[in-house]
Amino acid sequence: MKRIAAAVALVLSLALLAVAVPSGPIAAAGGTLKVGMILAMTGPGAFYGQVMSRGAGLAAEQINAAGGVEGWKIELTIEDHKSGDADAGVTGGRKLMDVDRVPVILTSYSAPTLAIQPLAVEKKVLLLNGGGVGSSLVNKPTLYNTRMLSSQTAPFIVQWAVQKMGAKRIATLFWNDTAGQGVNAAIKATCAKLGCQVVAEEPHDIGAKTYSAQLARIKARRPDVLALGNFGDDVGYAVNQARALGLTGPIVGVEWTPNAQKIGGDAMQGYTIAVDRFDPAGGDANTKRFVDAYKARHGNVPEFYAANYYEHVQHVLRPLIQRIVKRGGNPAEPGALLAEMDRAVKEGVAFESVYGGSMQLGADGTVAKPMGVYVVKGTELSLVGRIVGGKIEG
Amino acid sequence: MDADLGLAAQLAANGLIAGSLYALLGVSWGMIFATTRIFHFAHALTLAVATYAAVVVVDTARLGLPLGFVTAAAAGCLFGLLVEIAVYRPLRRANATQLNVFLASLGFLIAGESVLLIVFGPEARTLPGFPLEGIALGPVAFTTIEALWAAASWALVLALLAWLRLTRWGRAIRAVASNPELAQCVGVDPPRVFVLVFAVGSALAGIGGALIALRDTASPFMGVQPVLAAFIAVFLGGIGSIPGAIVGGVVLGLAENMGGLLLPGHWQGVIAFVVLFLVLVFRPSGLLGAAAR
Amino acid sequence: MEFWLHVLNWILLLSILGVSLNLLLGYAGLVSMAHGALFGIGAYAAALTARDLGVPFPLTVVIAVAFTTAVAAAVTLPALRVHGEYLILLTLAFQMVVYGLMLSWTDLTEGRTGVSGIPRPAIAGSALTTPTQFLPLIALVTALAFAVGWRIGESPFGRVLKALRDDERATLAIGKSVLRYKVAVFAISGAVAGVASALFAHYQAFINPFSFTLDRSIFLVALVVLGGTANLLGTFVGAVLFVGLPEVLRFLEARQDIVDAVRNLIFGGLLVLFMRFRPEGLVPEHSRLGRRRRPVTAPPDVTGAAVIARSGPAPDGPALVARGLAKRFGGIRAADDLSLSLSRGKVTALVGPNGAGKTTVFNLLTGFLPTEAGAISLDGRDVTGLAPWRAVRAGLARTFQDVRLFERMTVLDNVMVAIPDQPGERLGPLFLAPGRVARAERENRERALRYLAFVGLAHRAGDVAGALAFGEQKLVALARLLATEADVLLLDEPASGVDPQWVARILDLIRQCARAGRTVCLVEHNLEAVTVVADHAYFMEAGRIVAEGTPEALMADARLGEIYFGTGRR
Repeated sequence: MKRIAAAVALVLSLALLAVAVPSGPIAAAGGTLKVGMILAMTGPGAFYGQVMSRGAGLAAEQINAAGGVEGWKIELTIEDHKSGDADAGVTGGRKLMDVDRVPVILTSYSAPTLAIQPLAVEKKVLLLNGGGVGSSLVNKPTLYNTRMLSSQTAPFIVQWAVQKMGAKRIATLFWNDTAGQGVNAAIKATCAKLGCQVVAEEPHDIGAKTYSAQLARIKARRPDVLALGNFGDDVGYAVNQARALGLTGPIVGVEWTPNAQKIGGDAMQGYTIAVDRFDPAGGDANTKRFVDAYKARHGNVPEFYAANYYEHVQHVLRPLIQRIVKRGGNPAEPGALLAEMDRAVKEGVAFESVYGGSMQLGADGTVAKPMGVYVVKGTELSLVGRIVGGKIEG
Repeated sequence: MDADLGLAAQLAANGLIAGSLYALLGVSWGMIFATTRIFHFAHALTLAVATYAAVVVVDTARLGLPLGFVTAAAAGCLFGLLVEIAVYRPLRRANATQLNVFLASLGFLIAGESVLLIVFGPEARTLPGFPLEGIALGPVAFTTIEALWAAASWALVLALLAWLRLTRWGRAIRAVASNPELAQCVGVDPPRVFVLVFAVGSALAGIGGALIALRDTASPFMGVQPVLAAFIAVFLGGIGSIPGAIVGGVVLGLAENMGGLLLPGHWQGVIAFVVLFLVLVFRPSGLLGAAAR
Repeated sequence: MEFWLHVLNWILLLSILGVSLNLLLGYAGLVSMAHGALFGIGAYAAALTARDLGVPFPLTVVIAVAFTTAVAAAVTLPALRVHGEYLILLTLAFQMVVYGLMLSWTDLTEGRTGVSGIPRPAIAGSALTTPTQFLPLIALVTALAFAVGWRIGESPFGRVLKALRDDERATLAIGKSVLRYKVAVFAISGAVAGVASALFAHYQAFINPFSFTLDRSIFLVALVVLGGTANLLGTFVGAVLFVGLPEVLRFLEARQDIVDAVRNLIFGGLLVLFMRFRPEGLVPEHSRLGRRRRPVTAPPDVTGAAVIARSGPAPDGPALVARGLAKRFGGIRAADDLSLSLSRGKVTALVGPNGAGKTTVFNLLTGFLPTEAGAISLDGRDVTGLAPWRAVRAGLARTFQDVRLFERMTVLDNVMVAIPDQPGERLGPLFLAPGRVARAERENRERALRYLAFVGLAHRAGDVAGALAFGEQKLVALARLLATEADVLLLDEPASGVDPQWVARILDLIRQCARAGRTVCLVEHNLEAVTVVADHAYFMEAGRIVAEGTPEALMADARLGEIYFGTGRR
């Protein structure tokens, strides 16, 4: 009986395998361009996978509704890395690259991205990352990040803290990984230049919902300002607990999400960040088009993770496809998109940004986007200073 | 020096607060284990399910927090009974080995978490309704929610102790935990007692989950870490001893947090398991425990 | 196609881990929730030495194996003292500690960010990068791992592991050092896991702690149990189904956000259903698949007496002398200045009321309990304080009141495992002298069948021991005892709990053993049986020997009758 069951299972598997084996040549001109995505569709980060897929999905819908890019429709294929599992990311990446033959993958989370990057080099697949970013994701061939490194934004928040808040003693609470450590290092370096003192450095586990020990130690060092080097929901928990523990000084950081705002609640008042900021209320035409469409489609205002992935499709891939087609090439051909991206970046082409204005992508995989200093008023961020040419105005 | 004493006091306060919750969770699991000897990992699912029930009542239906707690207790109780009757009892009848029961419990947990994920989605759900304010007592600060944790945990734990010691059913439970064969001889019916401990222990776990969700929000996987802490509390204090689980919980909370005097904060999670490892190796009977059967 | 080869590579790698865990869990019955951590330790060892120290490929495997073996052997020591749920929790704690270290010790492991850029192996000048290129290597190593695992599992060594799994105390009682076997199997398990982990590190070229979580450990345990414990074919089937099938599901058009949740739901549900309805797994231990099954027939010329005869001349004097043994449990004196001597070729009985300490005497004599005073000598040699298994090797063995057969093993295996000095029980000869091992196996098999023939159960040799009636189990236990070739046999209530026909049979066998030159001592409540079979008897009360003599003399003593039956008129 059991042998029959095993045999049936085997046959089923083989049947599905036959169905799944890729068919012949890649789509000819004016067809469908497959875009792969490897996101956190399950696990603790599933919220982010959801909004990232929504952002990219919206852009694909808009493009396809307008007849495609030079006749090319966009088809998204999503794989799940289960909130950071590199093995799942690799298997998903292989499926996208070997079976679906995608020429570009939108990735997220550093571990799966790092794990599939060597494969992408081999298969000449372009990788675009708009999620968390740390120094480990820089200078990796085929990988372009559309989010600024915290080491690029952190110095400005220190500047703000010193110049506008009169901070002399700063305590840091940060993620225990390259992203958080990068923030910490940048804060220390900036303090060395500006003359403030870092009186406590407290790393914490990503996703830890309680920082009682760290905050207790920070409180004991009597800082003027608490600088956060964490991301996502952790921002909300940290701010909440810091206030509850009696830390009354200003709290600054490099990230804010609506979910963190919900978690932090009233304690988030006055929280100040310096970021490459996506402002849904911004007046830029690109921004408005995105925000209005997203609101209409999903019923809530999008935040920057959704924006980044919308941007990948609408403002990075679309112009790349246009350039290739104008040159007479085939964007679905393996390596074509990647080669075009490398070329565009070398030529210093400015890509439009859904943040408003344009963004500059560097050959080392970094990006420069409009930055600003924002503070939480009510439940929203409000702009208090623009960062132009490396200086804070306003 | 002053700052260090203040820091130590703060960490100790954090430890006692965490320890109160661990004590509650510890007795909720420990009473089930001591009586039935089932390694009830699915207790984590009970906690999560009960918490979601509270979230639905409080956040979705807006029926108020007190009703939410009652719902959590009731939902936990019913779910715990479900697991005993639908999973463990048939396994006992089939003479399953301890490993098999453990794996069945794990399987049920994995399946149940997936159901919660599919039904409720991945976003964290808040359990609103209790104001979060800071309270400062000298160098020590904590939040109103944490004060509730401590107060509720101790109230429930002490009530449970009294019940176990003073009532007939409580004595029946202690009898079965100590010697099931002998208990049968004096007219105690172990299957009924099993049902009772699952009901009471699961209800307590449900309340514990709701307390946690007040501060930390609810998610399908929320039960695993608290239940691991419960294991540690029980084994640290000594299985078969309810006071032991209480002591174990407090000691665990203190060890985890006071470790912050010496170690950077992100090592906190490791401390708990190092403690468990050392206890199992050097003193398996625990701090207060009778020798294991 | 590459994708499917990648899936296949993954199946193979996990099946190697499955073999490693099955040896520990399935054969030896030692639950480990730490195989995820072990996997990680080997992977980090290989990855960091390859990337940062430039160690070349095959050597990184050796390094990984060294680390995992050392760690696994180290975990054995605390694991020796714990059983059942304690072992589960101990290994779980270990898993969490190691995982925490991987995450937090960022100076060494780079924490969450992981170790990237692990160099690829170079074989014959070219580097292996793609799944297609890796497949031959991984397949070869998998085949080797299964071969080694199969050789170990289906050997005399594996037989002792299974005995250990079924009943540790009884394993000591047949003269096997439980400690040595546990350390050995933990070490082997670690070594095999180390090979898989090094391969994995080089294959993926990127590792981070998330591949080595508690979830991974749980998955591996589930894979082994669902596939079939103590059956390596089951492990392979389990790997194909639980690693391969979910990848097939990936191609079904479904809501991406719940696909993984549905997979987990199915996995968890299967676990519960299997544990309830098919706990032995897909390919059970005694299945014809995956096991070499030889027909079991008794040799044609079976004479019982021949097999139990002593070899060589019998030395003079009593076989066993115990003087002044003592043991207290709290305030109770279980044994108090107790002395006795067992005459060679005679049957001696220990009688007395319940609680007199008769089984305690056995425990003291065989080393299951250490004596607080006095000495024991066997054939003139001092054997006081010897560990139970050593006492058996010296020639002093016992049975148990509750029989304690190895219930999941066959009757034949139960007897074969007790035979001493089997070359196949040591790993060296097992792999280096297969001819000798095979020869010894054949001889021992015949020997075991003869012992079974002696007790009249050769026709049941192929049956699983747990399926036998209680009386039959007692006879098998006697055969197992004889197989140890111990001169002095201590039988704990051999005639209790069975019908008179069994009693007669057992007593007859005991008499034959004595006539053949063995020394027998038995604890017995059945006084009629004692009269029939014993030459000499000791009467015990409250830890002391209060009378000795022939059974008839003791029975005639009214005072002893009162003590025994408790009818003392005060």
